[in-house]
Amino acid sequence: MILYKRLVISIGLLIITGCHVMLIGAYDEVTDQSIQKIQNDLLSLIIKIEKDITDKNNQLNNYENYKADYTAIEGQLQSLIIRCNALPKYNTVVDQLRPFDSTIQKLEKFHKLGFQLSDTGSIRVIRETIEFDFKQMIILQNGLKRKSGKE
Amino acid sequence: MALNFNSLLEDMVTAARESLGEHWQGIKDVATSSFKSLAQHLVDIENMKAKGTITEEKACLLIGMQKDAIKIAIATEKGLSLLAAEAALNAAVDVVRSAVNRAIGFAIL
Repeated sequence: MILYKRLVISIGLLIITGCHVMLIGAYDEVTDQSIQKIQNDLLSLIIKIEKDITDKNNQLNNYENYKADYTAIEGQLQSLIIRCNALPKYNTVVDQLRPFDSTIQKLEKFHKLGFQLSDTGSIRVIRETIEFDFKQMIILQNGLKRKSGKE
Repeated sequence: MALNFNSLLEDMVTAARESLGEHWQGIKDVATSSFKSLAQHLVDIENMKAKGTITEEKACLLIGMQKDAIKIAIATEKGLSLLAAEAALNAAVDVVRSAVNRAIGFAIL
């Protein structure tokens, strides 16, 4: 009974104050653009690895040649997670970014083990998985953009 | 025994449908799309392992990426559900506000 009364009062206050309900955060252009930037950098890295395998230049795929690229991408992602943690009601976006961070860590571990010429199948699976991840993130960003009326 | 894409997909869809009950319809399309991607990759990884073109360590990393992908897809669905619920609630609040103003005769709210 008490809970019901509180609910009625809360809804009443919302109506009176003219406030709107917010269950998920507002669209943030910086977050959206950061995801796009990470997408460009990471997919460029993967495509380069694929081409070197296809062209049989696999010695160029040595992890040490890519260490700076991974550091830069991980830095961008960590900065983005910090930003999203600070935005109100952005925990759902953070729930996407954390497993994505885990995926990049796994890619880096895979790279340290070494890409072989036989890894054409593996790199294809990696690329398709990461493309899937970005598609999911873009779907949510577009949903937030539509909410804000910016699409 | 080799993994079969169709069997794997059917098992995933069935498990999710039974687990989610009435909520399954709302996420069916995105969930099925995610499961198709996951199932195909699991079959691919298993084939590579069987052919010896991938070590167990690398196979585990690739499977781990599939688990991460499912978590990301679940977060997407949660976000889209929240957006839909928010829009519905705000529409309801707006209707009540309009009705109150009409009843009173001027825009008190």
